[in-house]
Amino acid sequence: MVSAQDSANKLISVDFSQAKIEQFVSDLESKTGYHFYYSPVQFDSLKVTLQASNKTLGQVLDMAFAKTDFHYTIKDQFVFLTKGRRLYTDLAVGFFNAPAANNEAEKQPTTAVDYADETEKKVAEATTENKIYEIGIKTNNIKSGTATLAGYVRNIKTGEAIIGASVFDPDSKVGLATDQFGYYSLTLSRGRHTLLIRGLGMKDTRRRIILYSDGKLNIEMQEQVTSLKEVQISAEKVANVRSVEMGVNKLDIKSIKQIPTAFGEADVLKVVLTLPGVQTVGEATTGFNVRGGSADQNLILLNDATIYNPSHFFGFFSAFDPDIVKNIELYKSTIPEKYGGRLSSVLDVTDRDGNTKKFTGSAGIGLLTSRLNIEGPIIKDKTSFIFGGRTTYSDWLLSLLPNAYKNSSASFYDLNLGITSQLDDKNTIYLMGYMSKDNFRLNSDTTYAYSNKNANIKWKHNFNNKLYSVVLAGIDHYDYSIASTENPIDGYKLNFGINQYNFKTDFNYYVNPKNTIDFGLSAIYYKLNPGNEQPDGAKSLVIPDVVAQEQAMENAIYLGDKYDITSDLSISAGIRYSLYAYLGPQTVDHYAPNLPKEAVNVTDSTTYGKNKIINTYSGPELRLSARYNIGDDMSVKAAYNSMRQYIHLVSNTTAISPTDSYKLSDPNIKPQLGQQVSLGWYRNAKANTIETSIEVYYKTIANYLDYRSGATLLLNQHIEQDLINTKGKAYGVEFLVRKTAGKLNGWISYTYSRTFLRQDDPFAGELINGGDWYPANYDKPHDFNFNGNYRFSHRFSVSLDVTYSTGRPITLPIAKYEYGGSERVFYSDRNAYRIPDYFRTDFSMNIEGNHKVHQLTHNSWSIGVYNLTGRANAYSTFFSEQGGVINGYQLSIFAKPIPFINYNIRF
Amino acid sequence: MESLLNPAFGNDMEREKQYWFFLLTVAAGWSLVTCRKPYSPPVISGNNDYLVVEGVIAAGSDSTIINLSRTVRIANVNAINPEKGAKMTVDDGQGANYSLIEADKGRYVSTSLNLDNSHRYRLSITTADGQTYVSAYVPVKVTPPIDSVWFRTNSTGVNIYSAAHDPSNNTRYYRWYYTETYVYQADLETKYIFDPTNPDTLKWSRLRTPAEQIHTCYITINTSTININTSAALSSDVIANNLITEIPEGSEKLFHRYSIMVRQYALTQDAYNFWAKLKKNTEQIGTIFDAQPSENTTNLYCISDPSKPVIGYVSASTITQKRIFINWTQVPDWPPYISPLVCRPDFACWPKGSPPQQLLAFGELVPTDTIRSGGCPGIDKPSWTVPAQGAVCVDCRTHPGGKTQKPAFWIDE
Repeated sequence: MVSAQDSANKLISVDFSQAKIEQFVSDLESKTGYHFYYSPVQFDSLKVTLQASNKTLGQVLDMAFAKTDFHYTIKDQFVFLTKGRRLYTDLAVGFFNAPAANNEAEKQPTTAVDYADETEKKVAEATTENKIYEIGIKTNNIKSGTATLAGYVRNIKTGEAIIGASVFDPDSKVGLATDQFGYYSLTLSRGRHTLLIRGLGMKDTRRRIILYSDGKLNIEMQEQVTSLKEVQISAEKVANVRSVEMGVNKLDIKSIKQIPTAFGEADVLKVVLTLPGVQTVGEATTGFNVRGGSADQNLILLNDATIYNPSHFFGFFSAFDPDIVKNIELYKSTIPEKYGGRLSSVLDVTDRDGNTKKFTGSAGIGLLTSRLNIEGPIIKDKTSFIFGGRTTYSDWLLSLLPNAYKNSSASFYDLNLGITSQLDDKNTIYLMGYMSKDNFRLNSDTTYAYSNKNANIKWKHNFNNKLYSVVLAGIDHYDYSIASTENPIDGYKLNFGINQYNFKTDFNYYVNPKNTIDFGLSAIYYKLNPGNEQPDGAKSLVIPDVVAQEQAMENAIYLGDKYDITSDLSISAGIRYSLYAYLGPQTVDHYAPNLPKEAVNVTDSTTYGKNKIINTYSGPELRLSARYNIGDDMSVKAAYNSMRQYIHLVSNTTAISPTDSYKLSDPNIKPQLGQQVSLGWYRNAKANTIETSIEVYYKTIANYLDYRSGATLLLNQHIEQDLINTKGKAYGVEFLVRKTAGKLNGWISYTYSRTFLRQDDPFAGELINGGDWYPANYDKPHDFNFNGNYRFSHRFSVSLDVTYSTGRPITLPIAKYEYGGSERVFYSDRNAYRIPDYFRTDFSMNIEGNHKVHQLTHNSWSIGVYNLTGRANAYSTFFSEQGGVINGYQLSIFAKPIPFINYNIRF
Repeated sequence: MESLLNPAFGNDMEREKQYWFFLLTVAAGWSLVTCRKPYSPPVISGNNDYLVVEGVIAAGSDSTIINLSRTVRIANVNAINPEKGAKMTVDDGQGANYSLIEADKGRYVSTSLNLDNSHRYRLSITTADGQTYVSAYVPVKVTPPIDSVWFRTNSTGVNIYSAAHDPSNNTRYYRWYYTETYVYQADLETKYIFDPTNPDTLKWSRLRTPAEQIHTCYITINTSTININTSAALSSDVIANNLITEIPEGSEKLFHRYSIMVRQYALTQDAYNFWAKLKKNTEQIGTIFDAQPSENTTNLYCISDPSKPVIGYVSASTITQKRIFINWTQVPDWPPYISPLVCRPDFACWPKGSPPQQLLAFGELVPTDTIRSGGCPGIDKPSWTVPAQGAVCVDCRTHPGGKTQKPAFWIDE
């Protein structure tokens, strides 16, 4: 029997050609007598081609694994092969004067450190927290200066990235929040540190490190199953005061699920509506208005894919599956420079990553919909998937309609698929697919259908601890169709569609603890089919009517820098330069200057060939913000933002409806321009458990689109003749008090805001209200929301939601008269009156099954009442002529309390 | 809302509306949770009687006719509410002052004013309630002559066009007002008239005089649409092929003889915009489906209460006009007249010594021959009998707008 040392020094000769790991190992085992331990799955990609003679085992392994992510450790008669990190055989508990590292460690000064992934479950929690992690190339004496530590913060149970977790070194007061990948990069002085890690809904944890040089540390956090007292601090709360950003609301799915909705299913967009500065024109609409912007000025992103119609079933449901959504972020003021193309806000909805450890799922049953989601590893700890689906069985509801509508039907479904694959330490691939479809038919006559389809692939690459990039390529699609074949003579099918091809590259560079730079570029190619009407059926005499397709390219480059001038004063400055080109083939009409765009004023028209640039618009967009800390728990912030928007919703209604179309900017329709200044005051109290903020803003909008009277929007060959450019201004103040921890949590918000539009250019067509400012359709000065949740026990909680807002403006017919040979109606000034104020109270109870961790399924009930007080809020007012008499009516949708019940099961 | 229930939809607005209607219906279907209540905010139910001023200050030899009325509540059936007893003058601010006289309820008239085209004129109104309204001073636009009015047949009927031009390129904005007159004839003709003034009952049905004829009527219809056009985008001031009106194929207007009088008014750009806006507002009413209505512009205001809305736009111009006639023979292939009526020979009879049969007396039945004695079925007593027809078959005046008086301008074929 040879000693370990002997066999380690034993010289062997090998000859491998594309050898798989099994061949490689068995050959070495036979030649050395060592026993190898490895995971065949991890090494299935390894192919060894190597010729060597008279080398030690260590030398052979060095050669075989050179320039790969594979590592080995030799201990006694055993060889451990690992991927992604080295296995250290010493005790990890670090003593400062630790014995010199063994030969292998010195030869392999890699950055690998954390092997918690597999071991953590066995290692007691306290041990992880007390263990000292050595980062970087270990040296006997710690050099002076700084080094960068980077890594991912993940959920230990599911492997999912934790967004917005704060990684903080209390000694140097250096800290930051993880990005959307759960990634962080922190530059610290070399030496010993204790890092505090706090994540929303996660147990706080800490890591003790010795930082020798640049290195990586992945941190896994445990979910906060119950609300224990010592973990009342959430990452977000610190961020509220500390971050430079302002006008940002972050909500995780937990707070979203607490809020009662009409049909008992958690609804992302309904919750957004309760945030300060966000308003809606009415119930059963999904369009929302942020700080005086119209519904199309919100960029709605689902995992970086643009969702054009975020609603289902007449707006009663939003298009986001609550079982898949992880969190949402709404940017109202400081819009990061990497986003562009919309004036008012960015709503960033992020889905969860699949569980990388085991298969799990959940299902929910409600009055109108059912949901199912499954997730699990494809390759354990490396590649995971998450799938969610939702469908409705609402036809029973329609059967309650009057007889004339008995044959109506409505249905929708949506499907989400996400795949996350961590290729190695430096590369991660994210794949997402989304599809939603709505169908409804009016009494077997007219069929409406609309659909979102989105897919994208993201590749995140870490160049080093300080620099990473994300490259995205994707397609976003939205279409709708209306078809009728009831009367064979005029059977028709009308289509609208938009395709958006995206390419984006974002770079994030942590220069030093005080300075972070991000830069990148994006390109969007739009292909829009504004309307195509075709006969449907052999007998149809409908003449095809096609509005020419539109094409455009929207490119942008951006650069942003976040810089801490002092520990109290930080600024963030960004510039985005967008370049838009409207492309052929297209025929563009020219209008006589200084005359309204009317058919009679068309002087000429030009036809452009394919991909010919018809005209371009370009300009810089500035994103500036600054924060000054006043003490530990208070700060003031100021921001200035400018935005440009090249694609416009054309809608006669104030909400988004499935028959709205979009229009690209062209020589006759200028891009919308927006500017906003805002000022905010933030204060956290009671150990950050109560968060208060006051924000004021003033905003101007140029080239805001409004409509001429009697505008025809569908199949309009000359839509510019029905559009007018207006100016807009909006201002407001938003108060928010939020408590996210403790038995009682929730928020109260009050917003006073005004939004006005003005059309004072007589050459642009009609003056509105004599060229004075008039309130926009969604100008609702007072808006109050209360969302409260009280937890009686871990298994029982109640939620109460109260909403009050001023009624929206309306233009009323106030008299009639005879003129020009016909009866005419005299209208009030535009939006001079208001519908009655809105008030609603909702209540729900959430009952959880038992909390035993090890059981097959967990279930929960949610029971509640929507519109508890039964107030008949006006959904709309309308005027109807009967027998020559015009009468006004007010229609309420939820005029009585609506009880609901929902059953959810997790497995 | 009525049209929304109709499943056949012609245009895209309707489709959009239909969607919303469906949405509302779905909502309404939850009888438990929805409700529709009358909505009548004070501003609508209030008495919004704003002054409405319509008319043109005719600068030349034509009569100036200004119609004054008041708006009514939208819930009223009748929209016409003439404003009586107002005092009205036209002046140029330089001493010239002309009064208008109320010729008819709410209709104020002055004969030829022959204004100075280089002056600006305004209309001043003092209503019976003592309020004073004035218009802005408006320039006198000189209307060029109508070059021609002509018609063209196509697959859908007959289109009538006009053309005009202004060599000085000053007019640019035009409005037309037209009046159509056409011949309507009853299905059948009767030469007899029921005239119970004669002491001899047998002569109660006598021959009609030409003035009493009721077979041929003349029906006059005024414009009910706003007809405007502009040459502003053109290099020269030419209006060619301006569509005045369309007569759909098979219309009774062209079964015999038709005439149209087109009046042309030059407008200022402001006046043009007023009419353009009014045209767009048309008959839509403020439902949630509808586009935003535009506000009304006016060049009138109330001196005594400037916040009081006034409706209308006063402009001043000369007026040019042209009339054409179209005979049915000029529109080949015009579908033959098919009467919707069933006209069978009838008769009226009544016992001697009694008053004549009521239908006859009231003109519901019109005699088609002389009266004879006896022959009344079911009456044993002596009786009178006269062959007759229902008035709708022989009396063209039963047709809406039918008047037997031949207009002075009418030229027979």
